[in-house]
Amino acid sequence: MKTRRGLFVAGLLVAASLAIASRVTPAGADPSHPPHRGGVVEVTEIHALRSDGGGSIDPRLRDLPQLTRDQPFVRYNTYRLLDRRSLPLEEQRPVTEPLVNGRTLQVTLVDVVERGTDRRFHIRTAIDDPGKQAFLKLLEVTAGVNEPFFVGGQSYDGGTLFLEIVVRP
Amino acid sequence: MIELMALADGELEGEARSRVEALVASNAEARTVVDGLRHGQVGAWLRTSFDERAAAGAAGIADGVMARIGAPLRVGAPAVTPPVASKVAGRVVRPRAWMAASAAALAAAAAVAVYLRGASSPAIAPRASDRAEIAESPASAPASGVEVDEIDAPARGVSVFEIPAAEGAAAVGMAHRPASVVVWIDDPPEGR
Repeated sequence: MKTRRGLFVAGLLVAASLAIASRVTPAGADPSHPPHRGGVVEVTEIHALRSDGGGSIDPRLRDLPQLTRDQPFVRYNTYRLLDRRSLPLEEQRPVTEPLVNGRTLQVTLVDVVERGTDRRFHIRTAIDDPGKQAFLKLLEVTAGVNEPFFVGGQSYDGGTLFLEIVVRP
Repeated sequence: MIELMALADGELEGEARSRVEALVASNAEARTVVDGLRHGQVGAWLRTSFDERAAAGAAGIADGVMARIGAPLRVGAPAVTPPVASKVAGRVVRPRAWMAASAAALAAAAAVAVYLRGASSPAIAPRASDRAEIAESPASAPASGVEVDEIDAPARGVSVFEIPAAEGAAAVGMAHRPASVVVWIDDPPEGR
């Protein structure tokens, strides 16, 4: 008889444990990694020109003096900072900002990946052109904090427009 | 329930026996349980009783699992409060029925666990598209630099320029600059 009751109680306990575990831990979720806030994404609009009268680089563009030795920056010798904005990033919440050329930039933090002590940000970017086909339908990159990437090529005011996108802590 | 089982097995004594016998005398459910224990009808009674209680909207996970014995699985089904024990006069031991009930509870719980895990799959599935990875590094290396996962710019030429990390940046007064990329998308001047 005691065996019978023992089986009954054990069955109930195990059943309750399994059911509760399934409820509490969503599929694919690691309880040791709660949902992340993304921090801030900084978007800088840079106007690049080729000038015959000698070049210049806006002093606020601190990294550009190095970058201008590499393609495609080497094509230009004048860089002006047009705008710089910091946008809040949260997972799966797109942020949209107008660009100086009338197009619209959309940035979405897809997710955050932990690699050891580093956090890597999976970012989705799109550039819409109102009334036209999207200039950039989709760009997905993975980058760490303070690791910028650039989107270039948009024609603007006799030159081109570079977008520098970087996640800040 | 445990006390009902003990009563049915004739293992209750003293005050506990009196209390449970009183319960059985005054409660039809308790009577049914004890009768079932003595005549092997508990499994069928549990199914019927729990189904009725589930429909009535009580709450409780373990009991919900019990209620699902022999019934289709439903996520978020209302759970049930277990029937309170009762008392009886006979004592017939039918261990097989209870072993089957316990095994069924375990199986149902396992099935619920698997079902719930599947039902709440992450919204973002792994993308199996043509990912072009730039600046790929060995898995053992520290994460650094920008990786391009996917680009889609319909009807436009796309180039990706990889910019190596600036090792000597400090020498020119610059902070360390990690590897980066420039995604270049063709945009003829007349395009704007």
